Amino acid sequence: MGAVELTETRREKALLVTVQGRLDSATSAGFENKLTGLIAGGEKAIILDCAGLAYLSSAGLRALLVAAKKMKAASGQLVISALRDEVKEVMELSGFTTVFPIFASAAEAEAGLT
Amino acid sequence: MQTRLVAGAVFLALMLAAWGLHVGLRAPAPIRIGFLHSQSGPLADAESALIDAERMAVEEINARGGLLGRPVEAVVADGQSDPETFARLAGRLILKERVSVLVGGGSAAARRLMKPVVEAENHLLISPTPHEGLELSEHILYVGAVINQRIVPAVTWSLLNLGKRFYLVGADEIGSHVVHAVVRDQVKALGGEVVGDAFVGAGSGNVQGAVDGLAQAKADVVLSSLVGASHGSFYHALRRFGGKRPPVMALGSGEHELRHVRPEDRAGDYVAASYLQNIERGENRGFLDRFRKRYGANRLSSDAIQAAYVSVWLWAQSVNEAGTDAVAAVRKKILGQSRGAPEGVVSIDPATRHAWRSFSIGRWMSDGSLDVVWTAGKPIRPLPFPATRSRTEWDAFLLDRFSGWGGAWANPVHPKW
Repeated sequence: MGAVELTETRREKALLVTVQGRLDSATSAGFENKLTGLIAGGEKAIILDCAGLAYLSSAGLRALLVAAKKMKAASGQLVISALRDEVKEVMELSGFTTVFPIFASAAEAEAGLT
Repeated sequence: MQTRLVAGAVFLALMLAAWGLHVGLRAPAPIRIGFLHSQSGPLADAESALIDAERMAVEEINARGGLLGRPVEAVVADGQSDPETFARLAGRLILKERVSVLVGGGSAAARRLMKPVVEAENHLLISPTPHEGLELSEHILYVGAVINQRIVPAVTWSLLNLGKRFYLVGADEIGSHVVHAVVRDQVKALGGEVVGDAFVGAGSGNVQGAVDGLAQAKADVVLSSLVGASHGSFYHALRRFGGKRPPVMALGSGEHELRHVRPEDRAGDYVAASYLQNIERGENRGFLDRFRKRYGANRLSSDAIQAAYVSVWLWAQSVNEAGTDAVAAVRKKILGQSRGAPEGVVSIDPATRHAWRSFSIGRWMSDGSLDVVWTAGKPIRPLPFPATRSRTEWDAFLLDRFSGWGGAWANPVHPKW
């Protein structure tokens, strides 16, 4: 059983959400609720900084997908930064690295926001 | 006597001089390249265009002086939309025509039957068409995109943009069966649902069952890996929904292959491929200009056409670097090749002998054009074995289909054309 911690920091162009821990079947629902709550609350630009994300399961991918769809429906932007190699590989295998905007760092992600 | 001797000596000297002149002026022997695609049968419309692109590459190479000071000569054979004919002709091109390389195939079943032939002859086949993976061979260069480079991102994009209820329709051969298996795994893992699927004989126009199934499915999107003449029949049959149907995402078949479908029958539908004709790149504009100058102003390109053109150039670069057209040397040199292609950079992954390929999604407009709505920022690494199952499980999957079809890679229940 793992845990995930989310830390929010207001940046000039976006809300930076730092993800620490594991996104698996035990933690993904809470992660999804948090993100969708932010989007419902009017956040139009969110950077998910994943430097501290150690594990990503298919449940985590599903949660990301749901949040991305909500953000798309709200005409906002959800981008990902600083993936560890093992997490990046999971995303690559499932097509996420092709379809999601992914940046090397939070600063690059913020610069890439339109 | 002396006069006769002198005359004989002069004659001999003249003969030797003439022979020497002949040897010196004789044109160097051409390097022969075999093109093996369908020029007849239900797959001919799509595959014969690959030969056009391959011929154009050969003409460009020859216009630059050929390879190693020798002209390149194309030897073309007709696979007749029949995998067994492909295998037989692959052997003939290698053994009788003495080609230095084969660029060929179209369907997965044809490639899988050619594989043992090129392996037995220690030769080289370059496969330019999109394919199902689950295969590695030291004797095949896989330029065609594999499933993780086109199907997997298309599914994720569809989940994000179109909905989560998928209907799958494909050719009843190993390629589409693998596609459907991967899509089922991926859709399930990402919280979607496959609400139905159907298989049609490769290139067959008998699509009624597939359309009937779609009518019952309440799908958000249709993923189509149909091939050849099946496309036209399928889109035509979809008219019965009167425009109230889910969008079709065609996997790998693009502008050329779908040109017979009326624009109003495909407006709002999608194409997922490594290359789309409307990609904004200087290399693409140049390629299209030359292709149309050679074959007519209205000629359309597609993923497979572009890959066929690039395949010939990748081989030519390898011959130049190897300093020989000998198969063994070229097979080694081709692993390090890279080329700025119309779609983007295409480079060969030495570990898998597959190409890194780009990815785009296009949406058909009502005027018949295909707008690029999504492009991956960089080429995608080839992963021939999808991670949703183990190698052992994939091997079992292949064996199940192969033995179930009586030792064939296509379901024999469908009549040959």
